[in-house]
Amino acid sequence: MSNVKVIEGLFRAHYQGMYRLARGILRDGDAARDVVHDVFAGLLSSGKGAEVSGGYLIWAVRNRCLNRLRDLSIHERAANLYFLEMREYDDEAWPDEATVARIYDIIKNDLTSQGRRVMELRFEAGMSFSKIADVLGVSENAVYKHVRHALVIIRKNLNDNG
Amino acid sequence: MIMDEYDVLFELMAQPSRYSAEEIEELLSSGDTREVYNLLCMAGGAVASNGEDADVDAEWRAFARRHSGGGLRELWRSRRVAAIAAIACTSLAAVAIGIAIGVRSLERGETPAEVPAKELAMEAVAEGTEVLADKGEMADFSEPILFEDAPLKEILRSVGERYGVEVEYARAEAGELHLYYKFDPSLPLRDIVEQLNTFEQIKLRLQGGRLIVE
Repeated sequence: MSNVKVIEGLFRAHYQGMYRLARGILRDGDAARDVVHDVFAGLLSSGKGAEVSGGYLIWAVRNRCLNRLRDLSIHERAANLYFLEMREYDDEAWPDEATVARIYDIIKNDLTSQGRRVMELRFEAGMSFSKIADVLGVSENAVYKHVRHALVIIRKNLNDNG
Repeated sequence: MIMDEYDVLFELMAQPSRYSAEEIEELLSSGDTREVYNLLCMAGGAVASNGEDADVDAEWRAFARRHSGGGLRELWRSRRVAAIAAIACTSLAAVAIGIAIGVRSLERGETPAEVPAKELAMEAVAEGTEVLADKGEMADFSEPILFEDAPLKEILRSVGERYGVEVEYARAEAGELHLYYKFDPSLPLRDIVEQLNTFEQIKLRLQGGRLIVE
């Protein structure tokens, strides 16, 4: 089988998981897409398609995402809510699937619909907290209360359940 | 008014540009505030990774268009011809079955027929060197080692010591590349090589008990 056909097979089998991982780290759909495409472009140019596994692809995505974050200033990290230090991605083993699933389950099931919307607008749509307040027609303070409530619940759940 | 860790964090989030780098570090140095900040990062990641799924077909088409040189152009052309011809279903199904078998066998750790001799040689060396390394119990390698902004040559020095392989550089400057890498000495050497090869600028291969940096 040609390298291109192998790459198409890998692309179709693993794209979704790779994209979700990249979006979970970068929280930017376009950047996540670029990272995943770059990984496959690398395979295409190196001719290594037949040599790689799904695990390799996940590692490649994680490495490329972390490479993008490495040179960010502390202001950029704080503004985009990335871990302040690169080693924390390893310390927290982030993003590990089990913790991601637990946190998402809490957000989906234990928050009010407005609270959930606030979290989605911030982290899926990438809006600032002030923009969210405008969109929802509430005060910025109300937005913070929703985020605070979400964090209190997540913190308690993670601390209680280890 | 007494501010708790959430208030401190939200004030910072509202306008991070108001704070100097030192002030941000200081604000987030407290255990509780840092814990909440990291939770917010993780909550953000959880929401983002559970957003709408990508349209894989559309992504593949976009990828094929962007990289339409060489093999992909041929594949693209053949797909268009196949789409017009009525025989497309059977030929694509055959390709799909072949890919599925290939991907599954790769994930199971089997070696598909297409894997080149180089890879087979690499596997053989990797298995052998791991056994050798296990004979010497090196206390320094009892847990993962974090390399932060470290030159590749420093990382590979540790890898070489751990697995008892010599490291050779095709170009000396390749060793100067700085990266962030968590080296887990409990993994087989072939996994380490595979992990490091995921970095765009790094190409390593094993040959006769030597680790070659290309």
